[in-house]
Amino acid sequence: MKRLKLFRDFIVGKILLFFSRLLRRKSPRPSSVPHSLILEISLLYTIILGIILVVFSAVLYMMLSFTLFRELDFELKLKAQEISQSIQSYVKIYGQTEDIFNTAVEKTIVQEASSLKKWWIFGAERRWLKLRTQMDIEKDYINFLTSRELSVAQSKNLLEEPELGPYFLRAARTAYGNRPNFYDLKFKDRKIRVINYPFVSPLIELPSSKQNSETLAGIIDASESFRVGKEKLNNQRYILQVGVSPQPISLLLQNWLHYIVVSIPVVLVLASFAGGVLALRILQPVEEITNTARNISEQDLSARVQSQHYYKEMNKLTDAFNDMIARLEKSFKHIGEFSSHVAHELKTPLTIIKGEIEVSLMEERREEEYRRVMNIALEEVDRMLRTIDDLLLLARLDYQPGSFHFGEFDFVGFMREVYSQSKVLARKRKIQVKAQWPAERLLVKGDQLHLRRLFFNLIDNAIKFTPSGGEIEIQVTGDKGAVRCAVRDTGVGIAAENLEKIFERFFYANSFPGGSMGLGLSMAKAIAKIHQGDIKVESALNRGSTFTVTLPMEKIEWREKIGK
Amino acid sequence: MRILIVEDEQRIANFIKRGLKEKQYVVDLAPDGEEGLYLAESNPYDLILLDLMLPKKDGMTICRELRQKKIKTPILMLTARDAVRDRIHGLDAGADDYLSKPFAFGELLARIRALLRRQRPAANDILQVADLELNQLNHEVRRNSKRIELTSKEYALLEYLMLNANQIVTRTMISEHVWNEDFDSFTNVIDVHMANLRRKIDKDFKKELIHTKRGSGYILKG
Repeated sequence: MKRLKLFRDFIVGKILLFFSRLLRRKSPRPSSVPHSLILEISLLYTIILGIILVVFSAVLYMMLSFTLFRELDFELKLKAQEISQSIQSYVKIYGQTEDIFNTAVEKTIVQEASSLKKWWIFGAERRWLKLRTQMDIEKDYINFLTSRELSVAQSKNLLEEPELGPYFLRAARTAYGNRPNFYDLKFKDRKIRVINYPFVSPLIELPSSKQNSETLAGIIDASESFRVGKEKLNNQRYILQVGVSPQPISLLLQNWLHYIVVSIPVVLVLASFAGGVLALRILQPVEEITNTARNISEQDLSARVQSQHYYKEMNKLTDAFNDMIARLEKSFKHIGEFSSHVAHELKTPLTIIKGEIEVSLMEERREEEYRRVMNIALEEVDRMLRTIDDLLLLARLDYQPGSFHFGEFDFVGFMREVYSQSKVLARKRKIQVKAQWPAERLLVKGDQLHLRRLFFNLIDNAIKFTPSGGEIEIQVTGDKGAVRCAVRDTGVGIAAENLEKIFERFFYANSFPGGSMGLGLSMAKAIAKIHQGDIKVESALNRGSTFTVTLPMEKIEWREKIGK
Repeated sequence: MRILIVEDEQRIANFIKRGLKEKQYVVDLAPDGEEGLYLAESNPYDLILLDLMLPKKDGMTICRELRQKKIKTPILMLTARDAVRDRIHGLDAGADDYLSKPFAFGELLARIRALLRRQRPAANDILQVADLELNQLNHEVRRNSKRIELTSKEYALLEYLMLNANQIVTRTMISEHVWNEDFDSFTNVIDVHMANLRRKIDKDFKKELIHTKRGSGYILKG
């Protein structure tokens, strides 16, 4: 079974290879002018159909010719059988003497069908004659000869063409044994198919052969059309030759060949036309896609290909194309929004600096006023630098994850540091910070600098969105190979529809003071991802949010260290 | 001239407010969209400076809602988004002008003047009643070619009276156009400023231009 499958695969592979080569041969070097696919498909289609038709016709022709010739042989054999049976039955009826045998041979082979019209023939003779006539051997060449090549009897048409005699004799020489054999006799431009049918004399004994020779000769003399060899009929073996011209078969086959030779080109011309039409129809969606693709620009990505086609495969193609455009449109939109956010984020400090300076230059000011403007300008420049740094870091997180320095460290100790620093930050807003962590050490592999940034971004946000007097809670847990750190606040919360979007860069929501969340959360998420971790958020409006950071724990090495 | 600034970025709002005050405008601030819409609906501002990206309600929506409510106060949009499409959207939403950040403060002032000028029949920057002249560009006030020094409140008061010359101007109108939200209507601050202004404008001249209409308000007549 497996072998069969292998074989099938092999054959299919070979066929595909053949066609691909065929294609490649027809499409030359890529530098040359590209071919029309439609032309190529119809050409290939025609060639394949041509090959199939030629092979099919050839096989059919061979089979037909084989069958016809086999039929001919079968018929010849049947005739020879019938003739020999006819002779034997005559001998059975009239007695087993040599005379009667000779008469039987003569009557069977030479007699014409017209003898049946003779009214005086009746009884057993007439019945026998009737049977003999049914054999339909009038047009066949029949030669009856002894195994010593002495002709005993010849049919009328053979007698009329004495030049055929030696050819039949030559055919008789190919006979061997007790089985009939066939021979193709070529005479001038004629062909005759001959069967050599071994015939055993039905006479039981031949004691009176000498005695009867006189009478036999007499009979022979009387009948002009019957010749008996000079040699005595003392041999019981004979060869019955029946020859038939295969001309009707040859004619039939020739006609057949003519039809095929004429019809194949006609079929191929029609097929190439049909192939072209078919290819044109199949490639219709390709044309549509081409037109659509031409209409698509970075300004307008809304164009789509009409996607209901007759062909499943084309539907797939147009769907894939439309999907691609949709994705492009989405990412173009995203890039557009992102860059407009970046512009907003950078233009705001610039507006402030420019505006403050221009207003202060409108009139003469006191020194403190200039100092105030300078301070604002400095702060805004710092803000811009921060934004640019964040953007660069995000780009690095996206495209150069290799530029981080990973090292193993104790996460609990790390968070303890973060906690003490965040208490200082929260004190200004009168927000209380609580923390909770396990007693044991939790080992984490990561870039401390960036993880610190992650947690300060989360804590900064918590402080920003929690009203004064609120509370922030940091909770560290470690289980199942992961370290979890939850940052819980009692702030404004996030609307359910925005929960996933807050991690987008510059996600902008009307409900946030200041509008934009900036880059903080999206950067925190990117840092978590770089550490094979993640950030999840749960929130209830006006009750607070919980950001949970998950990082993989370094377990195995931890055990090793315990061992030491 | 009373102007409303709707801007969520505190520092931007601050410098605009300071700059405009120096140019004798009366300014109110709204830090988010909802408050901006509320103030714009409840006070007769002469102009609104509107940011587009605002918390609670964005600038486009505010613009559309104001126009739907037949409030025709000139709106100047201020935004960091400066693509042609954004400008088209802004103007189509009902804004009168569009200025992208960062902007030159001088240009902002010029555009504000242009929008205000468009509101009155004689579209120039010099207001004139009889021999009294007020230059809105350099804020100089002259009577009979003699320069008169005014405080910024007095200037704003005079500008308002001159813009509505030969019409009775009520105290409410004055409080709405010359004072901002912080105005306390129970004080006599208008009377004090008006008395000062009348002293500077009319005292040295034969003909009085500012008249008191008892029970209703004031009128400036040539």
